[in-house]
Order: sequence, then C-alpha cells, then structure tokens
Amino acid sequence: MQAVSLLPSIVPGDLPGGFPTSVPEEMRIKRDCKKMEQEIHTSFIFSAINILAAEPWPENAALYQQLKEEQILLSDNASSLAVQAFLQMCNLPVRVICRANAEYMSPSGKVPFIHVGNQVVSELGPIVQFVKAKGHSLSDGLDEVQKAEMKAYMELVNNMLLTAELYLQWCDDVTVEEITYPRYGSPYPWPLNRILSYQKQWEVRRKMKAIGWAGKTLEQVLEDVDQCCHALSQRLGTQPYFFNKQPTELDALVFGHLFTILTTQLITDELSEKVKNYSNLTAFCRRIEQQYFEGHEKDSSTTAAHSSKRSLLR
Amino acid sequence: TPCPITPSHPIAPLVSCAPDCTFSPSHLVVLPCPVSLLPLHFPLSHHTPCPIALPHPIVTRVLLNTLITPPHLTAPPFFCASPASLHSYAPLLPLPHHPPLHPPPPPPPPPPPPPPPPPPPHCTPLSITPTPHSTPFVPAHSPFLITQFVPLPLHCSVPTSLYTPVTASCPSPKHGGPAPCTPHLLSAAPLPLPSGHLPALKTRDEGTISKPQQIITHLRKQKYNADYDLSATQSADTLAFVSLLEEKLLPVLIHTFWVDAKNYVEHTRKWYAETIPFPLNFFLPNAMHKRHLERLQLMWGDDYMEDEEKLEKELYREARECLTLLSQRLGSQKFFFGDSPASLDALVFSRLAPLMKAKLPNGKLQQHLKSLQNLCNYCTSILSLYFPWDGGESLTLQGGDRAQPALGLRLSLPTRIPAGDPLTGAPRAAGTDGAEGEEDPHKRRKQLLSVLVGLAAMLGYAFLSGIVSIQRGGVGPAGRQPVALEEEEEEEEE
Repeated sequence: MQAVSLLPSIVPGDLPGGFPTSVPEEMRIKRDCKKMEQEIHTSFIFSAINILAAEPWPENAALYQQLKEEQILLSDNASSLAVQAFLQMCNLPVRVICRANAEYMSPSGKVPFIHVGNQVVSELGPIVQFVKAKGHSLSDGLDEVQKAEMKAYMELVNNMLLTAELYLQWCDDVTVEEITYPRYGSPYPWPLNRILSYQKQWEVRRKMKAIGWAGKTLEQVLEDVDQCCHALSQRLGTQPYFFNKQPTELDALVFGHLFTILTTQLITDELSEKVKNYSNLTAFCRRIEQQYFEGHEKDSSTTAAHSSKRSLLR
Repeated sequence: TPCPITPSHPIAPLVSCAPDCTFSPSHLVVLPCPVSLLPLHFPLSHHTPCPIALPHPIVTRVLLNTLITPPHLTAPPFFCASPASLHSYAPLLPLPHHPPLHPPPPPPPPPPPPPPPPPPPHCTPLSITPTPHSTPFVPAHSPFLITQFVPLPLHCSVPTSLYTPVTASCPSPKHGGPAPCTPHLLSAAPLPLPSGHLPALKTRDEGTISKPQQIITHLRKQKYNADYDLSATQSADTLAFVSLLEEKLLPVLIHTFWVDAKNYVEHTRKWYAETIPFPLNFFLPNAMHKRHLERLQLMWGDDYMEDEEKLEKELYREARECLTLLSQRLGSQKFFFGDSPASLDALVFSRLAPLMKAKLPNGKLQQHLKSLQNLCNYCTSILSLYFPWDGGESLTLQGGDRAQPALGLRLSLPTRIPAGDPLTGAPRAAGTDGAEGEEDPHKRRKQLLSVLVGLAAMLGYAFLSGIVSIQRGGVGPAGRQPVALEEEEEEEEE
C-alpha cells in the first residue's frame, strides 16, 4: 500500500518567513516530514481498523422501543421483535429498554434502534450490516443465488406484510379509532396525544398514497397478506428454516412479523386467520420462539417481552 | 378447432394449444400505451390462473404513466401512426396472425376469419409483413385490438416505451397463437384517455381498464397467463423478486430518469417534450417530474432528498446491489425460470431495458448495468424476440442500430402506401417510401386545408365588406352590366 502523502511537498525557498534554505537542512526537513507522514498514516490505519472491527460487542448493548404495554403498535412491535430475534440468533446479548419517545430518539425516525458502544443504529437492514462489520453474520454460508433470494424475500416481507400492518393500523378507520389513537398517544396529555396521532396518520396515509395502497380496501390488503404468506410458506416448505438448517436474518424478520400478527388481538381476527392457514408458518414461529426466546427466561427483559407479546394490545 | 400453430414455428415451443379453450371475442383496444405489449409470443395458459400474485401495482403504474409515443417523426425510425389512426385507433401493425403474405388488399384481411372461436390463423413473428394496411383497419373479428405505443428505437432518442409487465402476461394468445393484439399507435397525450393513465386496455365488454394490475387480471380471466408453468416455489420467488425490484430498484430508476437534475433536463424532459403533441408538451413533462419528485420524497423522506451525497452513496449502492443480485439469480439461464419467459421476466425487462438503452448523461447506474453482461444479453434477447420492430435484430438486416430505422420504416408502411409497393420494395427502400408517403399526405392535407381556409377567409371578407356581392335576378345583371359598361365608355369618352 502506498503511503499517501498527507503533507504538501515543501519546497525550501518558496515559503515566506525565512525558511531555512541550506541543503542539509532541507534534507532534514524532508526527512522529518516524511516521518510525520508515516506516523499519521499508520495511526490513521489503526484507527480505521479499530472502528471497523476491533470493538467487541459490549455487554450493555441496548435496544430501544416504545412502551410495550400501552403504546407500541403492531408494525413497530413486529420490527422490534425481528431485531431481537436476529440478535438472539447471533448470540449477542441486548437489553430491551422501553421509552415513550423511542421514535424520536431514533436516528431515522423508526423503531427499534440499538445503542451499542457509542453507535446508534436503527432498523433491521442497517443493524444487520453493523453486526456484520463486527464480525457476526448469519448469512455467510449462503451462496450468491441464495443471498439474492434472501434479500428478495426480506423485501417481500417489508413490502407486503409491513405495509399491510401499517395500512391496518392507520388507514382502517375502525382500528384507528379503537386501537391506534388510544395507544399511540397514550404517554402524552390530552391535546398532544391527538395531535401526534393525527400527524402520524397523515404521514402514513400520504405514504400509502405514494405507493398505491391508498385505494385498496381491507379485503384487498388481506388478500395481499395471504399471497405473501402463501409465498413464504411455499419457500419454507418443510425445512426448519428458510435456508439450510441455520437461521438467517430472513428467518428473524419473518418470525417478528408473523409472531406479532399471530399474538396480537385486533378488532377482528382476520389478519391472524390468514397466517394461521399456513401450518408450517405457525410451526416455524413456535420453533423459533422456543429456541431463542424461551431459553432465556432468566433474562427479565425478555420474559417481560415474552409475556407482553401474548398480551392483548388493547 | 385445431391450433393453427405448427410445431415448426420458432415460437411454438412456448405456446401450447388448449382445445377446450373458449374464446369470447371481446374486442380489446388498448389505448395509448407507452409500453409495447410484449405478449404476442408469450406462452399462454389456458387454465385457471396461476396462484402467483400479480405484480405490485406500482410496478406498472410508474412506468405506464410515462408518455410515449411519437405520432410521427420527421425521421421516423419507428413505427408511425398514420394521422387517421391517431383518432380511429386503427391498428397499424398487422397482427402476427395475419397471413403474412397476403396479397395487398386495401381492406386488410380480417385476421382470424371465423366468428365463434376465431383461431389466430398464423403465428408469424412480428417482423412482418409488408402487409399494407390502408387505414383504419379494424379487423372486425380480431379478438384483441391493442393500441399501443410501439417503442421507438432508443437510438433515435425518442422516449421508448418503458415496457411493462403488462406485456408479459398480456397477449398470450388464447389459442396458442400470438395474442391477437393489434398494436395501435396513438399520440402520447394521456388526457383524452378516459382515465388519464397509460397504458390502457379498451375492451368491448368491460370498458377501459387502465391499471396495469387490472389489465393483467383481465387477461388472466381471458385465460392468458404467462405463469402457468411455474412451480409454487418459483411463484413465490417471483413475488419476492418483484418486491425487491419495487423497493430497491424502481425508486432509484425514477430518480435517475426524473429527478436527477442533469438527466432530467438534458434527456428525459427533452424526450417527452419532443413527442407529446403541441399544447401538452409544455407542461406535462414538468407535471410528471413533480409527481415523481413528490413520490420519492414520500418514500425516502426529506433526509435523502436534501443530501445528494448520502442518497447517491446509499440508495444507488442498494440499487447496484439489486442489479447484481438479479444478475446472480439469472446466472446463465435464458430466462429467470428456465427456458420460457414468465411475468417476472417481463417485469425485470421492463425495468432494465430503458436503463440499458437510454442515453443518459449521468449514467452511473447504467454503467453498472452494462457491466453485468448476462443482464445485457438478457435484455437484448428479449428485445429481439418480442420487439423485433423496435430494438431487435431483423432476419434480413444486420443487427444493431442501423437495422432499426429500416425496420421501423418498413413497418410504417401500412398507412398510405399503395398496396403494391411494400411487397416489392426492399425493406429499406420501401421504408423510405413509406416514410415519405407517410409524411406527404399529412403535409399535403395541411397545405390543402390552409389554402381552403385562406380562400374561405378572403371570400368571407369580400362578401361581408361588400366588395363582392351576388345579385339575384335573371336579365337584370346582364342588362345592367352592359349599361354600366356603356356608361363607363361614355365616361371615358368624355
């Protein structure tokens, strides 16, 4: 690797201020400059290495989400659960901390986000990359085609399941009135909770319009969910996980969404019925839950998470 | 009725006949579709629709909202719509199932003759026919009349169609022939259309359908399905890849074409402004630009929109990764799922082809795509197979850009050329004739009209201001005139 010259080359005699111009001094100056360059260069390299890989996963890594019992909504719960499952699968310990303003703390505005060392990373995609930079990866054993498929299926879940959840909780009037409005603004006093809810709803509805979901009826949305589950079920088949015998981030994501849908009680049960139609998906959720969540019952945060997952979201 | 497609037909392997396929002659006319409808040779399925999910509405919607089409160009290397066809939706491109070498009859032969189930007589590739079509040829018995914007060869820097996935499942023929879609060229204005959206499929029974998703559903109901042969896992994969394209690639494509300042100003806006007819070309491209900008803003948030570098780095990186993933998934296969195309192929093609072919000034994504050789070959092969008039290589001419003008010209014959010429002339010559013929009637008509209007204006003014007046009465005028003349003579004498 060529040393990058960080300092401008000094031409004695050109500089103002009486720079020494005698030849031996020139040589000395040049030698000193070169040494400085090298030192800067090596320290630069070391710090880069530090940043990239050297820092191990700290014990006090924290995952932030909204309040479980009162505030969190279907889609956020699903995302948060996906991240938790992923970190469990990587064997990385993380504490789940619930804050009412988690959404505003997050760098991208979306929950969950993790606070590791002095880095804050939100959403599953960037978290996966961050964890990979730390040296933990679940998808290293996949070949190129499988990696392509994994990414495609993750986008499928995001595109269909997540959007359907958002639609259901922000665009379906009954659900909005009875579940979302009371929950979303619950930590805040009266005018603020309504204002925040309306604001968020307006934002989500704009986004739905942009992607063409605003014109959909609830039946069509449920139909889309069904198709998505069908595709996932087809892909899973009879395997324990989506790829080989090892779980990947796709498994975590699917688990997060499906488990939330299955265990959340909404106005009607249509959404969870759609998922329950596919027995291999429900078995898949149960398997991951048993393997990665029930085994850590000693950890109070996860048990609290676990028990609250089964609670009604009302 | 037996399937007219013989196994020796090059496309035949893709198509199978269903003896029990009932055909209901719904008269489909697709209104200005910026997208060429691939379909003509797509494999057909005559059974119940495949469980695969339809493409996400966005997929087609964004692309289909683009306007295309040049009704005519001065140097039309593409398929021109005749003036008449502009308003009559007359198909210009003879359907593949027309008997190719039909003796040039001014009323073009109705392709599939028979009333109840009209079997598409012949599946000929689209590189067709010199069959002249005198104008508004409406094959009365043709099952589908699809008006479409034939994509222009990209080298002529006219906005090509962004091929939609509609094309894929679209005209898979019912009876095993190429879909009886007659492409119509229309001028690009979306406004006169019922819904203002392109492409639109005008059916006899159900009115006009303008959402691509619905068009595909409709065609599937008519038992045209490109996905029938897919296994369940492949269907699931299709759904997944559709989502991947939607989320990662499509927004960046929109950005490249419509939002990126350099590209938009130098390329896209000019493209559309050149081909949209007069009053609309001033404000439609801008309106589309604003719409796309807003949509991207909603999708990505203000964060990305303001910070060009971040956008460039992260989102374009993801788009490049998406392209690489597609390339890896395609591998060395001909299509994504083996040897016969499916709707995923149409979708991927519709996204990639414009990116590949357009001459963008700021083309980082384009360069990345071009570096993925198998995707480039894939696009080219689909173009040549299914869009021979547009970008593919003709059998007689050399492949590449030079071929396209000839192809386009040759195909522009249909309208004003007298019957004999197309058959006799060499493709290029005929094409040139066609082009000239194409232009002349138009010009002449305009000239005639302007002369008439001028004359009418002058006469009207003359009458109204009294310079000229018509006097009624038999002898009177005649008598008076000699009297007047005499008076004049007298005056002159005096």
